[in-house]
Amino acid sequence: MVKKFTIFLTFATVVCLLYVYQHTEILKLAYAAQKKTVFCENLVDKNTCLKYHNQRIISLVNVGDKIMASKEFEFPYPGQLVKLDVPEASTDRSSAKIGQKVFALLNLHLKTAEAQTVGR
Amino acid sequence: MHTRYFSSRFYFLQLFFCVFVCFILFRLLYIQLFRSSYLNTLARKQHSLYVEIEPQRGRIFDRDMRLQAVNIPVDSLYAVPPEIDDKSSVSRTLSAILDMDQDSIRKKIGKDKKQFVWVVRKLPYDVSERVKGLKLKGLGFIKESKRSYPNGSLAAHILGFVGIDNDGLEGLELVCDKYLRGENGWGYGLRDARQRQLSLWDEMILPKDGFDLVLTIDEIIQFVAERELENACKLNHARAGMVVVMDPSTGEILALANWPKFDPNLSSDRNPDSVRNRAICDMYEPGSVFKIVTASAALEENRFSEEDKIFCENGSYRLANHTLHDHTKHGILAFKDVIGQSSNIGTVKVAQKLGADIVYKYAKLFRFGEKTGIDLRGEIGGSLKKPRYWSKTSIGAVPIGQEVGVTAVQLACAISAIANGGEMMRPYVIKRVQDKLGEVIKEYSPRSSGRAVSASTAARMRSILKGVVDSGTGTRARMDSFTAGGKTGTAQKIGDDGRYSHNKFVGTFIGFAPVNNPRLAIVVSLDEPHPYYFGGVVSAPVFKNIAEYSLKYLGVVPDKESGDKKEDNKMVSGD
Repeated sequence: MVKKFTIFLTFATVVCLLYVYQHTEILKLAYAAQKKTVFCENLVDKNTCLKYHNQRIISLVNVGDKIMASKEFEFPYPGQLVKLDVPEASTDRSSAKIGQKVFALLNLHLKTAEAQTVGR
Repeated sequence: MHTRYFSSRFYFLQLFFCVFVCFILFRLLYIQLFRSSYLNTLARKQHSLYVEIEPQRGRIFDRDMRLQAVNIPVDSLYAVPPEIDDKSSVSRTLSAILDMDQDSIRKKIGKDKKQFVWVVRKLPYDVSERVKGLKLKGLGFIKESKRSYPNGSLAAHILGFVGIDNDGLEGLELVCDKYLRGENGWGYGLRDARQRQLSLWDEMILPKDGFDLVLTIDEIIQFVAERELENACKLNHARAGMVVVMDPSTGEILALANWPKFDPNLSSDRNPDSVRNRAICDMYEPGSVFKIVTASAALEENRFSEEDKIFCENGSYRLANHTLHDHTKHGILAFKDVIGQSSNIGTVKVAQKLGADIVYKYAKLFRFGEKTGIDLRGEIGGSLKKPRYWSKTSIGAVPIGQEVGVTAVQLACAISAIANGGEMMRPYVIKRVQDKLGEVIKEYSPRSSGRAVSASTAARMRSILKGVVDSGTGTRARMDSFTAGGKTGTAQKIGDDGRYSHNKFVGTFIGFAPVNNPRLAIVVSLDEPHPYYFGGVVSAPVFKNIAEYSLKYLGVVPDKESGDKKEDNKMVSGD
């Protein structure tokens, strides 16, 4: 009888301890998850802020004035041909110059290009 | 003996254990049956926290879905005064970082009876990070969302701004608050024994985010309009200025600019003068631009044709004890040249032939003296007296834009009607309301508010107004690549003594381009420019620059050879 009672008591105690341990672990995990959630939320918030600041930096108010102030800048007409300023070929045969020339030849089609209007 | 003794002790222990278990069971039953609701409430109060969940305010886009207003997450700093030990030191430290008066911080955190006090709402990111780094006891942060405008002052008078709690206070933020605001959610969040909020919810109703707004405004055209207006105001030392750019065929407002301007991101930048949307809230005498009404009436009523000759009295004309003058003395002018040279005397003679009732009728058909119905707050209807209230001199004033009060938007609608074939289009800035997924909730479409003149009269008027730009008072509005029509106007302002001022003027230009298929109708008004004040001198170049950039941007094919240009840019003072 004593033995049975002791076994029962021990079993009950172990089950209780396990139950408590399980809950403690759950809470620990929950706190860890909470910490990660907060961390992720902060990252998302920072990302939103960065995107917003990026938007501000590239906004027309910031860059528009600088572009428009440039005397060389002209808004193209639809279908207007824009001639790009390609440096004249030099007699210098250095490897850098040759490289530049090869690159210019590869991009020959860029010398004249149809102007694209923004947006539409 | 020993066994019996042990056995009785064991039975006693068992009995004690059973009684104990029974006691616990009874206690549990008692708690469950009789005390449950009370204890539940108590526990709920300890572990649950009622939280209102803020919805995301709707965003605002321009017509090409470029972002104009957005929400960004920010921290708000609060204090728990009883937890702060050294209040002087904390207020001194915060004062340096927050750039606030030390005494005001000290006053806030000195309220020892309060458990929660806001120190600063919606801190910039870098500032909140610096305060967080201090790890001061008794200070905490709450995440909130802040309304932000990435383009700063661009279209600020249309967008408006919100208050500290994200309620719309001005502009579209106020007009469309019901769409943008969304609905609050709520929930019971769980807290632990230390009262820290866990991301677990007992019960939760999600917030409904606000709807997005898509405007008719085009960011690029708006930028060009604001830039040109600002340059002109600075160059001509104007007190204020306004520009309205409208699509004449639909009534869509493509740009609406006011100067002075303000940045809705900065509350310090707002004052009644800069915040006022002058284009719809300010009424002024239009001056000669109003002659388009008189001229349209004359053509529509078949009383005059373009080539009819009118004697302009060599610059001086007596009318009911009042002498009317032209800026330049004219003899006989054709009807079209009366408008082209902006002769006051010629126009008044036309109006006298028409009569007050006809002039009034057409002013009403062009919707002067009443609100245009634009979907912005604070619009006024201007003023237009009924003929029975006209004085003897009114027939010499109303037809040339005196004794009437108009807004820039009304002028934009009137010139649009001439540009589009005579139809008065209701101006609007909201294209549609949509949800986050792009589903359209409400769509606004072009709406006519009646016909001002017939299509043929409108076409004849376009031709006359083209003459104004080609060889009349508006040559400074002439573009290199596009044809344009328009009318200049210079109105004397009424001084403090109630008489017309001789040094305060409003210089206006209204026009459209290209002439044959107008894509833009533009109104430019500068308030008190000096030393030059003629509309043809100060406002026409603004029209030219805005129209030229905008038409190129819109992909409109030039309808003019770029060779025939720049003959005369002389000072024109006939308006």
